[in-house]
Amino acid sequence: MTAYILRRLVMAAPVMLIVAVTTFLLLHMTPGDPVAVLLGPDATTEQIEQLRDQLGLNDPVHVQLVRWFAGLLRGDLGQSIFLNKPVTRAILERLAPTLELSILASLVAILIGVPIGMLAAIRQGRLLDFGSMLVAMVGISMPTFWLGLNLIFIFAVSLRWLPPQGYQPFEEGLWANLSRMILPAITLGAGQGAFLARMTRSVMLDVLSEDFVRTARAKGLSEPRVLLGHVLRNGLIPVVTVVGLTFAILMGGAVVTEQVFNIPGVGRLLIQAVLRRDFPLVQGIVLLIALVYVLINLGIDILYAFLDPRIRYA
Amino acid sequence: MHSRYEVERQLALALQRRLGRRGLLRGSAALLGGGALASLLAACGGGTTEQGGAPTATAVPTAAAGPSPATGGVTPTAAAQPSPAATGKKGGVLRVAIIGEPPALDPQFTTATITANITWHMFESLFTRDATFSPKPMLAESYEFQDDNKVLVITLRPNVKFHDGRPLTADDVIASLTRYSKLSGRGKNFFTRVTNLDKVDETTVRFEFKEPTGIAPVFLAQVDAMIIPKDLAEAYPDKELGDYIGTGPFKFKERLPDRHISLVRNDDYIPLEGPADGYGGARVPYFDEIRFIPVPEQAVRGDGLVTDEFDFAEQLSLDNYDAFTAEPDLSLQVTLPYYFYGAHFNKSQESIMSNLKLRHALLAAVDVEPVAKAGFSRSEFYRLYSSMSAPETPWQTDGGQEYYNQKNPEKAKQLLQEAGYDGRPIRWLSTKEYSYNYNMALVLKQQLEAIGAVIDLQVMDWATLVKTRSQRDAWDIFITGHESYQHPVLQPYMNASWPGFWANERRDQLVQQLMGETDEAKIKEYVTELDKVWWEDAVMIKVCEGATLRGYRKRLQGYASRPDWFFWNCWFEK
Repeated sequence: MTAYILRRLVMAAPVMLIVAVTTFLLLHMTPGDPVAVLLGPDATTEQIEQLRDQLGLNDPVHVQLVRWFAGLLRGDLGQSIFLNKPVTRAILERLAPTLELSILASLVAILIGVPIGMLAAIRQGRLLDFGSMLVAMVGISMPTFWLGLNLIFIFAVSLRWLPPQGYQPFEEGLWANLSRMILPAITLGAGQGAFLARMTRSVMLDVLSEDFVRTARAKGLSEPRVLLGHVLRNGLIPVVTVVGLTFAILMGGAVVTEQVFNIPGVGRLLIQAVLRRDFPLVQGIVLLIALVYVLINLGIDILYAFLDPRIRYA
Repeated sequence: MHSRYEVERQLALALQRRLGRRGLLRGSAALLGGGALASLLAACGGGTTEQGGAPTATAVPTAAAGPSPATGGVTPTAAAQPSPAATGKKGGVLRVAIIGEPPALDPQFTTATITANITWHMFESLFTRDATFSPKPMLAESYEFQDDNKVLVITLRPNVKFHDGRPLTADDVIASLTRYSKLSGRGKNFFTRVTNLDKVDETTVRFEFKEPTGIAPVFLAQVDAMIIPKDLAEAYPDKELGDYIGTGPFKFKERLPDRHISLVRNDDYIPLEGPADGYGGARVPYFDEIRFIPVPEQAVRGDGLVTDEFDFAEQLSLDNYDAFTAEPDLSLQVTLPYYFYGAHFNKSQESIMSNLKLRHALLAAVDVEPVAKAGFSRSEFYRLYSSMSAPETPWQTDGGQEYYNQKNPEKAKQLLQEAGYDGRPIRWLSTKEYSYNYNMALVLKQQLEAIGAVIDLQVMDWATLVKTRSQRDAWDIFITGHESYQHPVLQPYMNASWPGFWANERRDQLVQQLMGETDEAKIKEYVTELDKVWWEDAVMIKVCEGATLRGYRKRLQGYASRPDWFFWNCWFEK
């Protein structure tokens, strides 16, 4: 198992390399100048050129690429142009809200998706099945920002139950923290929850038609035991894959949600970095997201072995 | 994107029937604001803006100054500004929603308006601007021009202390202005005239100029001419400040990027005597703390203000004006004077618009009213006049007004022909990040195409636009805005290297004369001539002065409505 994990980690290196080079080149092909944004609208051309020289932005792209890579190999993601601090530090400072949001949104997605999917499967062809799948379809189709704006309108502006924006760390109190996370977590989790519901339903339907389910029923097991002990356990494997990927997708999806709810997380940092053409920062964040994907995929594979004893890694 | 706007509007209307008018209007605020959201990328840019995204500002005009739909607790301007020392109450945390994270907290380093607006609570300059936007001593106690405006002696106020307790001295002033001369674009420009800056004694400095420089107080009244301790100025000679020590009514507490920038009251601050006057006069800090919270989404700023998450929010959606007025606890400000907007021509040889006749042809075609309406939605939110300066300033003139708002397609067509225009597409840079920019461009395009010009409207994000406009061969026209309450000489387009690349000998002469002069009548004569040259050379299609909308909770007292906001002399009603 250890050998397997190590091999997978080594295999991740070329993936990260490709992501790094592609991001770097794409960014440097994009028009726009970080220094012009930094120095403001009235800055003169000379001022801008001077600072570009200082920051090494006037060097040829391949020189900049080599310099950045040399730093990367030493674990140095470079310096954010706009924030004037190391990229690693800038990202770490914003990680907490994004992680919290992603975890809560995953919870929302699982709590909505798995039970609804199961119920729909059990009641296949009935009104409940039809209704829940219709809702799921709407959920998948709805743009995140639109849902977010509507939730803000209803629960924050009209009903005044929850605050419309912002983030408070845990130190400010559990409710202060959670009250600002509820709407964003629902916004972000709903779409994935809907996807999960459809996924769970179809997997469950497959398992429900397996021979061993008929056998379990035939030997007189109660329906809940059949469903929870046999069907769910066997249906769980693809669902775990989706849940794992959901988390990774949510880390990326947090970009829009954080913007709508004004949450100072990695997603909003990324948007601002793109708008300001803060090259090192964008590269750092994209690498981080790629890394999260790689690690989550690895985690899922390892989890399989525990869920299904038939799977063994050589 | 446009269609999404429409969909949201329809949705808002549908909801209206169900939710009642007020709730709805609030909702439509959220939904319509979401249109901006659709271009998620909006508003950020970190709050750098020239026009664009602009800064902010409010400032309800004086009674004579034209229409103001401002409601509620609108504080009348200048003359009526209260003497703050007697009235306010100390305490409280003021939460201000700003348009984005500032690029730096150093106005010498960046020209972003949001940086200036935050930092002038901490840093002060030798002068500031009064109710007519003219210079007025701040850290200076008095000043005297000598030798035909070739020497300026400034005496400092004796009792001023920095936030770390050290007294303000002439050495600090010299070190700060030396940094200003190297780092700030304006500072560099100003110091080309300075031959000597000396300390006379601990509280007196003396400028010597190459030529008469009566304009010096105008430069020294800008936020970028701020005074900081000598050691700080010398520690950061060519990079952004890492430490924030000034003399202002508030002190730096902390900066958590994208969370907040926090300033606390400077209890040792000694205000000037007498009433407040524009940005000048007495400054009294009342709040325990001011928290500037970056909120790039316009809709979120509005929602946060309505739900009492913020006490003050800048750059709200003009479309939601009615919704906000329906809120009983809110006061609104429609800021005028503010920025004037127009389409700059690329006058460098690389552009087709270097052809003066062609520029005049386009100028002749334009009917500004529908363009202004497209940019600022209703007539209370814009003003039409030809000058580059607002009526509240001493610099408004009618020079060249015959070229403004000509609405003469026949003349335009003829000029087009005389210009030898061959139907080559005119490349127009536009952005949807600032809705006025795109909306105005659309209407102008229509008007210009009606006379036979071919407009190639290229829509891009702001960062791309800023980069592209600096390349002389990459564009022909773009829209932007400029402060209409700024001294004309300080307008960025007076510099021939600023995009638009306006070079003109007569302009240079007039700028030189204005730089030297202190006599008001002469200044008026020169700015009239400057406005005229600006029009005759068809520098840009000036369209209108456009307002921005700000809102605040009614418990915020003492707020003076000026184009740039500030929160000294403000307090919470208990």
